[in-house]
Amino acid sequence: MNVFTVPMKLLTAVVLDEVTDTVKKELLRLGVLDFIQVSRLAPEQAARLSVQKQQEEPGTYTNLRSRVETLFMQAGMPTPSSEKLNPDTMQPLEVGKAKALVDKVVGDLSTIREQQKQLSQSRIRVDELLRYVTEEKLQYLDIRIGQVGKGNDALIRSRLANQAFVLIQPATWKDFVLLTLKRDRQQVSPLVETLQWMENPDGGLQRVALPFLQAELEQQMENLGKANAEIKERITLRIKEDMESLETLWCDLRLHELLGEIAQNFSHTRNTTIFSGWVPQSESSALESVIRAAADGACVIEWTDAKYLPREEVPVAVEDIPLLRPFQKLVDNYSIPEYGTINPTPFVAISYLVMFGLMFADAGQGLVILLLGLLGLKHSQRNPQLKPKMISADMYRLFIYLGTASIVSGVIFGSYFGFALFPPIWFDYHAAVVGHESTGRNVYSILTITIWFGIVIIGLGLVLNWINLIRKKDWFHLLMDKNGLVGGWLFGCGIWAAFAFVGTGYKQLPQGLFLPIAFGLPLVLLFAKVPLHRYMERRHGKELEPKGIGSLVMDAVLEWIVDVLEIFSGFLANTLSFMRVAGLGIAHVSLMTAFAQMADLAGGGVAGIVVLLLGNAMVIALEGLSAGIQALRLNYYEFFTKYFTGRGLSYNPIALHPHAGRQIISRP
Amino acid sequence: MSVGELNRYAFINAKLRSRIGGMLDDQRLENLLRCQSLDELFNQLKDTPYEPLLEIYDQSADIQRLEAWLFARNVRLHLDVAKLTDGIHSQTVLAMTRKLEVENLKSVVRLWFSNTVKHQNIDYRLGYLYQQQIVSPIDWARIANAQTYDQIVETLSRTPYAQSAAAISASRIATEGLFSLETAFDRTWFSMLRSVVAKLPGDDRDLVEAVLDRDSDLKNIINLVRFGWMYSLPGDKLRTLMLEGGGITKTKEFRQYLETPPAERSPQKLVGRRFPDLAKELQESGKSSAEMQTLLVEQYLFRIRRKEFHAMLRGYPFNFGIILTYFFLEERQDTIIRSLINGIHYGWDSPAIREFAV
Repeated sequence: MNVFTVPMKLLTAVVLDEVTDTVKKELLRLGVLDFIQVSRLAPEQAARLSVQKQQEEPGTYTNLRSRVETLFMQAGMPTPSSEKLNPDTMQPLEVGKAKALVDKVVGDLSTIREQQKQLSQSRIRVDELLRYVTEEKLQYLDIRIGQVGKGNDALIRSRLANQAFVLIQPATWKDFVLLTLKRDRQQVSPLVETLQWMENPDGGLQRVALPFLQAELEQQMENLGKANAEIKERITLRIKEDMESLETLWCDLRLHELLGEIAQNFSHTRNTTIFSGWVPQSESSALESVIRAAADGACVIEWTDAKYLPREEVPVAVEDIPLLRPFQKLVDNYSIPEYGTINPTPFVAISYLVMFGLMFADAGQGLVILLLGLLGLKHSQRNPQLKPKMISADMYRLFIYLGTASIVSGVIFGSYFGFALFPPIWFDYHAAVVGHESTGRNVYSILTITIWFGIVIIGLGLVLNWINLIRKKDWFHLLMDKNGLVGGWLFGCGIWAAFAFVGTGYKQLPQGLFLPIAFGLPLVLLFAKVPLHRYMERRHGKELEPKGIGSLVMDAVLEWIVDVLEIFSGFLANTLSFMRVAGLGIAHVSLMTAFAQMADLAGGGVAGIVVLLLGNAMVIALEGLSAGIQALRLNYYEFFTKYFTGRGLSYNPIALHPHAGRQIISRP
Repeated sequence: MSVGELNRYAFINAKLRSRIGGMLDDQRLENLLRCQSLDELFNQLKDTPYEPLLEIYDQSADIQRLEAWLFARNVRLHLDVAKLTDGIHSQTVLAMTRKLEVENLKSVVRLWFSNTVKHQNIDYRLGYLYQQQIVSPIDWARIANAQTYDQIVETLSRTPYAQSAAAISASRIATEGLFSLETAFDRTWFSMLRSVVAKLPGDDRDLVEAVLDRDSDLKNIINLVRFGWMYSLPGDKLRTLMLEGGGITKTKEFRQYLETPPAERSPQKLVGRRFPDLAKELQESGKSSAEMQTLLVEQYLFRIRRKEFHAMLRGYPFNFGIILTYFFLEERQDTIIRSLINGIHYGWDSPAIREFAV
């Protein structure tokens, strides 16, 4: 496992123009080259190079692909997977024909949608009538009960086609019941009169008719719902009629899009094509072979090691470690590491899990979280089309890890759903918190443990920083930075002095030469930071603003004051910050103790079990969330700030599959 | 910064800023402008607050349902913000929400007018209007189904719009249409808003009044140009259209504008002193139509408001400005979405949609 960022090499290649298309396809197939503009390498030659004009506007393929994907979505079909992309089977693309195909499908769908709109309007009509009938708002309704003298019910329906109405003839009734809106009376009455409507004089029948009308309206709503479902099915079927063509089109569009992106990074002379880009060192041989084969040997390939170029221009990739993927996401959320530095992921995995375990030490609750993670992951894998709501598949994976950490620490501290069911491997955390003397430990012991934990984490951060600085050969910052050797020295001596002070019962700091050597020397050294930095910059040929002695001294003094304040207050605050690990752990115990007491007060039995179940659920949800967030904060702030500069450039090769990028999977 | 301001605005500031942060950014808007069908548009709006439009369109293919949802969403947002505040601040937000209530009221009355006065079949159209309570408990269905104008007046009798409705007779509505009634509703709302804002504490009051004064001025200018020039309304009628507040109605240019015969009225002279930039734009547009001039004033108003609200967003966070800014940005976003929906549905080209949307 490589804990550093993946070593990269810069490729510059020249091939003949006639093999450009073949080379493009092979580069796409391999998918490892993160292109850079050739003109950046040789700006003075840039004027002699040209970029090939693309046949289509850059966005044409993307827009068309987006339209095709919309059709897939409408049909409830997933977008074709990148595994279907094959440069060998790619067809020449006539954009006009492609647009015509998509337009034809969309046009047909518009016609179906128009019918759907009519249905929607019908539903609104029926819904209003149903609402008034259900709420018995008869003041808005005209309910006619009677018979037609001229024509039949079909004629009534055709005459009233443009109105909101219901016409029924309940079973055993001779009369029809005609329901319309009172506000439409001016239009409806003349229509009804032409049919020689004979109204039943019994006004009480209107109320009797209401249930029949309601039933009829509900039936109509149901029918309209079914009709709408049929229309949606027709939409799906219409798209599926052309599914094969659309899938082929999507693949061709995507391939053309990607090849177009590659082509934009090619520069041309009269007869040659030049391109350049970064590739992981492990892929360099494969890439060279592929280019030589595509160019039939007629090519020039030059490699440049990343160490010869400015670090900030080198894209950063890290080795993909499948087990650590959830933690990679945590790191990615923060930033991209600088090239050549340590990949924080393995360290974050350990520190995050240990922190969480210390804050949420319970084997039973950890098991619940583990099971939640397993079930959630299984569910999301079975239903890949479902959009994750609050918790994604990666989060479920993280739950599995956190649950395991919690189980391990629960066993170490002897906590099982808040009860000491088995003896602890280390000490009884619960007993220590509540003050049982049998453990020989108390809350202060726990605080001490977490402070030591913090010291280890901060110390680890400093060591990682030194390693990074040594690799960068940045000797100045290695020595003088607040997270450098001077800062580390002060941190170490500060801890020694603090523990010595505590050891004397808060009475006395270490005597003798300790303090002058421990603190005096580095502080004097820090004072030399500004002049030393200036000297080194001048040695490297950098132009500096001329400054007088007085100004230099003032700069040195101010910088020194700031550095001293930052080092002392920063390290102190960072170290004490880890007390929150103890705080949360203690709070966890306190809550479980409280719920246990509440269960007793509830009289035990079923009521007690219910209290315990609810209590455990609440603790898992609230304390679990709290512990997760605090562990993240400690990593991001107390740990990362020691060594993670985060100025990296992302490695983004143009590849067939969308996941090619910073996490590269090592080839066997 | 007082403790009171901090207590009042700390939470709402964080909440509204997080909502503002989730609004559509320029890149997303560019993607939306490239859409050629409504299905594409709604596909692009997935993972945004407008995602429900996809389901509504999929179920109904009815853009009026989409507009109805947008309106309901706007009401909900306003009422949410009212709940986040209390006392006079909550009343101020509710007073601002009444603008939506007035819009809905005008729409329902227009339906009634089409049906009862014009004898047109309004069919299903009531179903598209918002029918729940916004601020006052108004029985919308009763208004739409009213047999006479008096029934509408009675329905509104326990609302702030009672007086405005009662002041206009049924015969006037029948002969002149709804213009006077709608204008009266607008002025009632604005007057209510003004009176509530006057009760806000110091800095908040000054801030909101400054915004309302500027809005009054520019909306009055719009009305003066539109109705004074395009429709050639006489001076006394124009005066009744004016919203209270602002400074334009106190100027001699305003008096002269009213006194000048309609054909000779000059929008540039009207605004020249108070809004010289606007006057310059109107002049540079040449002898364009009243519609064009009105559009220029509306665009000018939009630009001023955008500049002002962005300054509020960058400035002191613990005042009413965050609420005003949030409503402005939401309104702008809604306008863009509506323009896109209508533009794509009616087959406008991209530049035309862009002109209305952005």
